[in-house]
Amino acid sequence: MIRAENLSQTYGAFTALQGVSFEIPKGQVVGLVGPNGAGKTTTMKILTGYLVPSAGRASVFGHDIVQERIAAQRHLGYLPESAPVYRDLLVQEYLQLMAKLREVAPADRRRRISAVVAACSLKDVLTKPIGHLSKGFRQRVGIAQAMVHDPALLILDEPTSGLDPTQILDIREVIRRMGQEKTVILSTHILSEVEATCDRALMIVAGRLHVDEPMESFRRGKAIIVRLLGSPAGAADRLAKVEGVSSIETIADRDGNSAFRLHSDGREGLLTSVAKLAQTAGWTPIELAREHHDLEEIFRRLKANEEAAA
Amino acid sequence: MSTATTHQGSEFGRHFKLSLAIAGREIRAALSSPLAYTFTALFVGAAIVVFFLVERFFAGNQASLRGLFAWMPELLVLVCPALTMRVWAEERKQGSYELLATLPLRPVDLVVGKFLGSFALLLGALVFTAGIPLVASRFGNLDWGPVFAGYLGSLLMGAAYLAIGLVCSALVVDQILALFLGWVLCGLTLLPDAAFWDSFLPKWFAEGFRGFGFGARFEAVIRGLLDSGDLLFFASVTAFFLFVNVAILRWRRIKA
Repeated sequence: MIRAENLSQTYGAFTALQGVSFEIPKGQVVGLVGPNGAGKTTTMKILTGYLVPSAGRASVFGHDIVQERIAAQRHLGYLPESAPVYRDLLVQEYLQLMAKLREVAPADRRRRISAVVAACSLKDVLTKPIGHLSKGFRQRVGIAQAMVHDPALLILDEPTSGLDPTQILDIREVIRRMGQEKTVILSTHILSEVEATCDRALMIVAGRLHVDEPMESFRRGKAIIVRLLGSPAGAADRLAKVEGVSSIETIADRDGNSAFRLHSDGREGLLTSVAKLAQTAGWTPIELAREHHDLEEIFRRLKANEEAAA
Repeated sequence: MSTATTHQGSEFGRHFKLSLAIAGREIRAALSSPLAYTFTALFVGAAIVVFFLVERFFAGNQASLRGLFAWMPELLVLVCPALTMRVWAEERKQGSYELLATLPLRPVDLVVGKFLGSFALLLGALVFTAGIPLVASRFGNLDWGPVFAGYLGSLLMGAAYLAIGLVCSALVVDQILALFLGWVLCGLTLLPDAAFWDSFLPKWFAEGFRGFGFGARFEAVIRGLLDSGDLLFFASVTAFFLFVNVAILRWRRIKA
């Protein structure tokens, strides 16, 4: 269990993190999502023991990250932003160094290194200097060093940033495989990234935790979009009366059709009710779907709220 | 009682192994950068020039290395900050410091490792100057006692300068800045030894002030007066700056 209680971090006058609390059970893959500068990296720096939080506390598998830093750090592997690996070393030298510093028993080192080399597909570059590798490979070396001591928790800061689409797919595959047995916390500002790899998303905007839901409900918005051909009379009134609809909003439609956003409590079966209504009423629905969260939009709205409140 | 001792012993061994791994990495990094070679070459070159040209070894009729060791404090001030400038500054610049700080190591393990690595480089640089006594010994009956005392003094004084240089490197992100800072700080330690104080300070005061200079301590060590006070002086300056370095690392966790 990874636990954060009321974490706050200030850099001078700037508040990077404000009262962030969460718990992550063993084995979960969690995405920290948020715009750049929202506090994702700060959260990770605190969880890894790099930073002592200005207020609040965090623990990794029962070890307080400040009081028992070294005990906590033994359980985690960390990939800092932009994978700062020693470029003058060969890949194998680097992994050996990290295994040594992580106190992997000498007898286990060879086995552990082959395991991470296989997991991150580094076999072909083992004898190359890290400085000669592409960004994608350097990133993989960074993930490999984070796993070399077989930690129960992996913390990966922007593991796919700056990679090309093929490399991104590779890294996601690596993360998915690791996620089967390990607790993984990764950060990203791309929604599809979370959808592709995480069980749960923690959204951090302007230093505050906003959404903490399992992936499934995070992806699925609570609103429904209905678009009807033409402008059937009384449609808005009848839609508003469907059970479970809390409010209705008319959306602009360039082609002269009528479009509505139905807000609801997110209950199941609402789509079916609306479809049945359309059938009875003789409307021609040209769109009937759950609205998906548009992350950028959410970021903008949350940020605007924050600023209005401040 | 005995089990506790055994446990402490193995604990120490464990931490020392980690420090050695850090030291090994440090040496490897220095050897793969042209800067280390350049400064070692400059150091050895300057030692040769000073000994044979400035101090005119061949003009004298004594086979002694006094000419070399007379300049050793200045040479060490030049080379030591150059050997340590990249140590912390580069880690922080590349971001790899973040990885180091999240390894399950104590700050003191890191600092001792970095120090040992730098010390090995200094040892290497001094070994390259060993050609000078070897040449000198062919021109006369070289007394090796003072030579060893001189090298011992150089190592002790060098260790103190390395510790100062490490602190400079830990304070700034730019290694060139760390180099200049190191030159200034290490240079200051020789200031009390300068002759010009006599011209305007009362004699008793100038003498007392000289006691603070590293140069006078170094003189005492190389004269073969193995006074434990002088040895302790360099050892405690080294320990003090390593301690400051540890404090800086701790402070960085709190003040990002």
